[in-house]
Amino acid sequence: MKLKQSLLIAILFSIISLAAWEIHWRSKPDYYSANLEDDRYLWAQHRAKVVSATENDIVIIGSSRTGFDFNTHVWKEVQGIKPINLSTNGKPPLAFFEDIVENTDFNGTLILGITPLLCFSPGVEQRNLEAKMWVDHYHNQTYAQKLGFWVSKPLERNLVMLTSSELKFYNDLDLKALINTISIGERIPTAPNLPNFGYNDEDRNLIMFSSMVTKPEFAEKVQNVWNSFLPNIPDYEVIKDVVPTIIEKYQEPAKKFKARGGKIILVRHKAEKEWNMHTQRILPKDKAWDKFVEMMDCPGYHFEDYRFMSKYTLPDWSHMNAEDAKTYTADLVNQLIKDNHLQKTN
Amino acid sequence: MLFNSLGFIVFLTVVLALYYTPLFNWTGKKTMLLLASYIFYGLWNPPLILLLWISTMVDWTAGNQLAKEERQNIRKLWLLLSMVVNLGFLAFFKYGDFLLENFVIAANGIGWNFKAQPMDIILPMGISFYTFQTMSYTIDIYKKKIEPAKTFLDFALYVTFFPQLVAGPIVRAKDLISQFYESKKATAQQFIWGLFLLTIGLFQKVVLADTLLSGTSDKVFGAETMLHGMDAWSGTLAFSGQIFFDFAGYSTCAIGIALMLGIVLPDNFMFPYASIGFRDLWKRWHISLSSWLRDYLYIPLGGNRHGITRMYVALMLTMLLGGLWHGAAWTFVVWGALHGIYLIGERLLKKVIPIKINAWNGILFALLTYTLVNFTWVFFRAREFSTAKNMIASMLFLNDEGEKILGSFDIIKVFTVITLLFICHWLMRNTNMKEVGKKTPPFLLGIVWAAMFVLICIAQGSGEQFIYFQF
Repeated sequence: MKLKQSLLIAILFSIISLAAWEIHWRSKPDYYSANLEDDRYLWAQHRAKVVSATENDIVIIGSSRTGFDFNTHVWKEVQGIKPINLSTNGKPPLAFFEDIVENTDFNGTLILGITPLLCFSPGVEQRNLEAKMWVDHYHNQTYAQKLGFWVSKPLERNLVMLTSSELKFYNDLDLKALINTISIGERIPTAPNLPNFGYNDEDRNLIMFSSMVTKPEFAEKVQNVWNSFLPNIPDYEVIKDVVPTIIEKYQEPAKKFKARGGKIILVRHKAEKEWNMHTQRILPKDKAWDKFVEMMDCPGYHFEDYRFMSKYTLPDWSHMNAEDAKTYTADLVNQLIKDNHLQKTN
Repeated sequence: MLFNSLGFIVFLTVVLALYYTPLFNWTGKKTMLLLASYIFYGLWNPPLILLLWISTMVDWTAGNQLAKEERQNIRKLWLLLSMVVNLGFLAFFKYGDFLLENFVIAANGIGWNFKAQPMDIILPMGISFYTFQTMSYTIDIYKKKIEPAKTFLDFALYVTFFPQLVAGPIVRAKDLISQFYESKKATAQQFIWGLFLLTIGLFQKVVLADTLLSGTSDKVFGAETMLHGMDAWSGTLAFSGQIFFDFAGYSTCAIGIALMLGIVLPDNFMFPYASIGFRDLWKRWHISLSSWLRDYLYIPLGGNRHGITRMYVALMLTMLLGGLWHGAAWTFVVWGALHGIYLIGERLLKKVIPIKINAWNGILFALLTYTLVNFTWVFFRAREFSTAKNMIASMLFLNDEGEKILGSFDIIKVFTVITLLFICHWLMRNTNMKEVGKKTPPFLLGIVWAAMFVLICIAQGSGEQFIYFQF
């Protein structure tokens, strides 16, 4: 066997093919850029910071709305402290909240972003389990996994082709995701795939692609995904018996956290059009948010109550574009300072 | 540490660099390999290295005593000590919860209202593999088939050698320890072939098992409803492919990595899905385990030396315990029982209907064998008997109203991959990769190699654990 010859050919063709693959993804800078992907490893790295966080620190939990709408760099500019951002795409915050309460001594400020349909609607058990998997990953990750993440960092920071995410809807450049985009026939009804519409920085801020603003047809694709499932969620009258039990799960951890001196601030970010319409139908403000704030006995900021929170237009009806997120963050932090929930330190 | 992780690539690069630099003599290189193996294992869960050490110490001591001792009753005691420690670890760590659970069921069955907290014992990675490997060492010395290892270092490295530590192949002492006695260095051909095998192994794991098949298998076996026959078959076929690519992929990686160090490990898979009959299957599937079970269980149970009935009993017991070796659940026992029944049935049929196998009927028998194997995989993959029952009913098309959960593309994808897998196994049935490699033009081999490597990179993978790590 002329294996040396085969090896050289393999190296040559691998380099050419991978270079072409990288160039292909780099030719779409509106959608793809090289960055550390927002996966459980990056989340765990930030979760580790909570262990040494003090009473002056701030931890943010919530879902993608919290991730897109807040900008922790701006937060630091305004208040002087950069919050630890533990918000996660598509996952309700209960498991993260319980983890911080049960497994840390953190007694600073916890910003709890609430997306009612994600947090309080039936089916939340499965979503909580998915969130719990990230918590478990943090607690159980092996040294081998930590080493792997450490090694992968420089590669992910420099190669666009490696920026796939384990969140199914959040990537389309790894082989599995690419194959999953193929569909033949209509054997089973299929929901449209949620296109990736943002990226993240290493502080886990989610940043919406500018094309979501400049290309309405792109934003429409995302809106179509929301429209594919929002109308199917039953009305409040159908689910009214289970909603209180879901909401109550936040009560015990909240009591425990406050008892050790922690502060909780609840934030209900803006949603509009179909998102807001269906949220009002399924979980009306007086039945969900108001009850939740009353039960938690914490300051609550609802977008309908503050002009600075509701003045933005959301490209996909649910998340803010990057520029709006900056002013929104600054306004909210200033409001929290004004209301004496935060202290300015700079 | 997983072969399919970037961390391992760094680890292997460092090990190879240290191995081939003139810093160490052969003893130094073996010491480095031993330390690297502990690091390889310890990066997963450091405290569990203790189990490896205990196993190493006990079997090293028992082996030496067995070699020195002439009194048979004392020799038996030393062997017993080795068995008790190794099987004790296995029983506690692997079967502790299972035994407790079944004890509670039995107690409640006789009216004793007994409740127990699950022990939630961590299953040490690869414990079934390294305990079987070290047990074979003491048993072989007891039977005076081999001499003890010359040095403790050689023995410790035999127990811990990182390429095959956590999922085999289960290597016999005579095949591996003797390789440690003299300085080893891979030739350029061996090194490159080892690298090629590593690429094939990773391709099987990352691209074929994890990317193409695992999703369909997980979806089907995770369904809580009765499925349409086509969906059930697709899920089962996907799993049959997934487990082969996953496990054979690991073995191929292990063999390739060892070869890069100049160490030769035995083949663990020989294109099993082209087996004609089940006897043939067990000579081709997980060869190192089936030969272990044959030599240390089936033959001591009497083998075929005490008449047909006793032989069938021995065969069945071997397969039942082989099933239980794979996992602490009754579904695995049923998997083993089915294989036992198939093996016995095949022997009975051969007596009644003597068939001469040729190329034409051979492929049909291979297809029949593979189809029957798929029914066993249902029990292997299903977590509950109810799931297995539903799956079998669907596969026999007894569920007219079964739910469709797979898209057409998923089904086409699985059937395409599995058809290619079967054809490939059939064509490779009487040859091996090395022979095919020799006949392949270097340019074509290079292109195939590049294609596999590029697909591994594109697949990226999320570092999915190998299925057999849990066994």
